[in-house]
Amino acid sequence: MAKQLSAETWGNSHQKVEKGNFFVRLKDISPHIVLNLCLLLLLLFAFYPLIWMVFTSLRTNPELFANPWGLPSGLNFDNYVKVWQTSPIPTYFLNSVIVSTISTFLILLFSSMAAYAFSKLKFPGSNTLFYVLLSFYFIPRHIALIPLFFVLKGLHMLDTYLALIGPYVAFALPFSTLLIRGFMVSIPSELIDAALIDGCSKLGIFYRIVLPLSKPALAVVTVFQFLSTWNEYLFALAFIHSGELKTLPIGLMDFVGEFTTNWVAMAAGLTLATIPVIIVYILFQPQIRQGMTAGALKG
Amino acid sequence: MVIFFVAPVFMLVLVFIAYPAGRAVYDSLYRWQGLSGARTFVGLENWQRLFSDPVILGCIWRNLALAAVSVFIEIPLAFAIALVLARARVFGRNLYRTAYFFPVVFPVTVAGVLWSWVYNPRYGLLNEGLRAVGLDQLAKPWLSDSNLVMPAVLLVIVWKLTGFYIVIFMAALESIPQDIYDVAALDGTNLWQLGVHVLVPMLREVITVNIAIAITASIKRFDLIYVMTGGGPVHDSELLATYMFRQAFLSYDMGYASTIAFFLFLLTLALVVVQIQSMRSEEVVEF
Repeated sequence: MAKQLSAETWGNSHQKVEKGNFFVRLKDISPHIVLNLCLLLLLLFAFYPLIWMVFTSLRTNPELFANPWGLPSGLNFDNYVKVWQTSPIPTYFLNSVIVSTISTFLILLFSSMAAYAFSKLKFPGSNTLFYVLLSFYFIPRHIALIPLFFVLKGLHMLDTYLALIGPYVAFALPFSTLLIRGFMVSIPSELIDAALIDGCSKLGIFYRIVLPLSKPALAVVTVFQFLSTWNEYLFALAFIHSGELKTLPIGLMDFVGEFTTNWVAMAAGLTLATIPVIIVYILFQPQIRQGMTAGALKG
Repeated sequence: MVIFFVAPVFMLVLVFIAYPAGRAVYDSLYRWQGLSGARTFVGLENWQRLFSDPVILGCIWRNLALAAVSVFIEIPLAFAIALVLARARVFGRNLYRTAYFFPVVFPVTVAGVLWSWVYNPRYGLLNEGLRAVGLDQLAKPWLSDSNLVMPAVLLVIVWKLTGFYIVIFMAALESIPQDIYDVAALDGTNLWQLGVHVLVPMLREVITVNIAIAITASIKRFDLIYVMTGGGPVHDSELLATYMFRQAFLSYDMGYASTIAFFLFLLTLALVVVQIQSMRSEEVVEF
């Protein structure tokens, strides 16, 4: 199909639509119609699970099992009320908020500090040390998983929030430092020299000049790492066992086991778990995209 | 002063990444069951077991199938979509990008549960849809059939990940100077020629990196499959990571699980090195 799209149709400059009779025009634009239809079908494929989840959460079980493809008959939030009042979803939700927020804050703090040192405080061996740090980006979580379990056990951190916060922060640091450092390098040294002359300390320069100027990079790291920690599954599954400490990804699995055939209630629970992601996605899509592409385009 | 700024990062990385990763290599030389520290040194016994374990061989095949699907379906599909979105006359380009990218950030467990409902034999969307159009004989127990479980799971992976590559390719296409497009347009190049003959060679580096990402991610794949099938039925959708996890936290066979983890790491490393080497040698031939 792409073969039929002539240069005239994709080139931005000097596009000219020929005037002819209806059928000639139709022949000209038919590849576009087919193309747009294909894109639309793919859009449905990508989006339908989300739409279906929300629809299902607004229905009743008899309605659903009579016709799973059907639409909700109205806005009925009973399932949400029921799930919020009778299931442990609010607890999981709170745990996820706590773990993700603290982890993201610490990632931001530590990686921006290191990025500042690596970009603005040139010290002997700073490049070597930076590459050492970066090499840990390529260590998969899987290989650390089992020993980490025993490290956490030894530190009496197993089955606490710290069992997740510690590893989440550590595994996010190499990439976050890389990203923020890349941005800080472009901050002109004159600004820093001027502040030094004015008697500003290195800590003051970091806090008052470099950090505020790095906001775009910090935003990317914040959004990207918040989503990553919110969705993390492997460590949470291995390191958290008490129901009252579980985060949403693992808590949801218990919830699904409990509600087995009550699909509409489960759909409400799943939707609740997804809402923060949707909000972050709508507000910060460019930052998420930058976070995801940074690794691939710079690497 | 410098130490103050870099110390937290290095302390955390040492405690939570460097030490555990090194430790796994050492642990793979021990027979070690349960959550206590009691262990016996067995040398390479775990490695012998790994290479004669038929489940491992199956896992490697399935992991490679995942990698093949990423490299030969997701990446070309993503490139085509990105190209069309970037260059063809499309209405609502940003809407498409937003929609295609969404599955990437969709929480994995939520996605896994939803898709296992889609595949549910009795009430699932797929079977209900097939029955509605009269294709009753095609309605199958997708996730509990040993032959269908992998294709079913692979479709979900394509759904979840293609958007990631679309976004990367769109960003890469934006970075190509407008002159190139203008010249190609003057030459009367169509979209297909533009993609294959102009843009693929120009984006060789991005494609290489994407393939490397796809391969490592495929070898590490865990959560989506673990949520949907747990590696079952029996071991029919078992991957290296799910097998490792089950050996460690369900069978408490820590020594063997460490060996699988180390093997998984070596496999990603080897595949990426081979891939980068082969891309390099292609370049040499060209010039």
